[in-house]
Amino acid sequence: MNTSEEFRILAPTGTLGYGFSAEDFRRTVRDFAPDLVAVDAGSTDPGPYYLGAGKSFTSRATIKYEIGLLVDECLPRKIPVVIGNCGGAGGRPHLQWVNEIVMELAAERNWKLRLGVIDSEIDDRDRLKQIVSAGQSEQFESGAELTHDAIDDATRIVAQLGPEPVAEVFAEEPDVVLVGRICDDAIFSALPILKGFDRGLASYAGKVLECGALACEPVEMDVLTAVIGREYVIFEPGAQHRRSTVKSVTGHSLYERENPFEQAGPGGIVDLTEVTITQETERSVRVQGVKFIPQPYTLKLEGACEVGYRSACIAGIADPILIEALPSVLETVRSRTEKRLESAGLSARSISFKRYGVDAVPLNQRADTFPASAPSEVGVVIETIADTAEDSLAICHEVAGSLLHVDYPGQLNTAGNVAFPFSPAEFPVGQCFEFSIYHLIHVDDPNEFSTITVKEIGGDHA
Amino acid sequence: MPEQRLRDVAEVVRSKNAGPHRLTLDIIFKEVEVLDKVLEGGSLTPEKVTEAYGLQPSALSSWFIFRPGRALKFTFIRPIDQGGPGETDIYGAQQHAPLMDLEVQL
Repeated sequence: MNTSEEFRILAPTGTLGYGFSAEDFRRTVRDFAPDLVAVDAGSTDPGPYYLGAGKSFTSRATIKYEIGLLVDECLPRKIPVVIGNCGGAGGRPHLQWVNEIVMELAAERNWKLRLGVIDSEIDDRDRLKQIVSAGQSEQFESGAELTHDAIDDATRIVAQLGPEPVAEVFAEEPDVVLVGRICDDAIFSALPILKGFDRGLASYAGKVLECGALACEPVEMDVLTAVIGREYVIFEPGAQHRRSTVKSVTGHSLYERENPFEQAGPGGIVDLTEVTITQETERSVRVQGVKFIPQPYTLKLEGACEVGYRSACIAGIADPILIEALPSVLETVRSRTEKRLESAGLSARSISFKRYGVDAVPLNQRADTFPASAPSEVGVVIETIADTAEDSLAICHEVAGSLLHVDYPGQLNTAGNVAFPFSPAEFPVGQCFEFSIYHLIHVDDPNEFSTITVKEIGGDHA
Repeated sequence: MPEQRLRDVAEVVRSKNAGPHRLTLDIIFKEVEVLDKVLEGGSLTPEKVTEAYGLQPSALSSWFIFRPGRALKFTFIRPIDQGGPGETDIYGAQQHAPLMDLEVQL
């Protein structure tokens, strides 16, 4: 029963393109009768490459299939569908890519709909520099202030929007809304906030919904629903064999964030210190006591800067004498290669070795010590970064060749030091990017860095 | 007071990026009583966890006792910015290993 005292939201999954049960989705749309279906399509999780390169980390086929499922079900029922962080990184090429998929589906399925698009890629870099010069930017976890150079050097910069632009697009009654980079909770919270529900409660609900059934038992990329009331939110998964529990929803406050008691966002902080979570039914929980603490309005900027082209080579080592000598051997290979490169007029931005089976995984690379009992096999991954793809691959080939033939103390095997699984042994990985911008800016207008368009698709407008 | 490894007394031990510049570690216990005992035993202090990772104290960004979730949370400044040269773990999802065999006093 939908009343103005409650707002009902359905999230089909935690990341568009990563799957959900079509059957559970269709049944839940029918039985739960949501006021809104929204889904997050992106993340910074896979790193800065996708933002910089303008590419999606999910496949076109899965995105097309899933958008087809969502809109086929929601359009006839007049349930708006909002997709945030389109194309994964939420830049303009990502947004256009999803827009094209929707247009293609509309033509194939004779959809007639109003499509809202919210672009949050920033073209006006002079405006950003003004903001920096006026002291209106803040370093946010990156450890360095935002500079004009960083603004100039970034391949692409996006603003992570709050709920306001989504609320604005709804004045035009769209059926489907595609959003670029946006706080993952804002696609869920914008409409309930617009309808007068508490901003803290709606933002908190959005933060849980954006992960789909990850806040359930058993965990899965799947359907989750939320009913937002005046002072509570009730979560329940779509699949009958799944449950929202006090434990699963409480635990979600820890996930992928630093502070489990606070959820910071544009315009304020959601305070969870007084929250109570109780089991409502066997499969649902009720959350109360969420508070919102308004703050000066800030937007987070994300910018990716290219730092060269990356190549890699995988080389297996099984010789026990070489394995014992490996730390010094790799340094010999590096210094010999650097000398050769200099003669050939090649310069590497970086050459690094990962020693799988020894210490390739820790982010904190410690002093060069081997375990007391040397492993029987070590996988060496060579990573080279240079200004061009061609140079990077050439340098990787040089390093691999040097490792193959390098001499070392006690050597018995003189026929080749490594087992290459592939030919060619080295391969181009692509551009290497860094998140060169990850800063907050203070803005008076939450919509300053968003561009909204609404168009009719299909029917007489095709 | 018996000493056990963390892997024997925790329900969840996990690591993940919290944005491109932070790595966050979650240790969740089955019962809040176990969390309390571990805290009383003084075996999972921020100093000890930082040491287990071979990091300087300044690398610890924050730590929380999250009793509603029966959890401890430690967040470090990421030693490498996500995705750049020398990256070893894009998602930060395999950085929990040093916690597994920490000895905890119950």
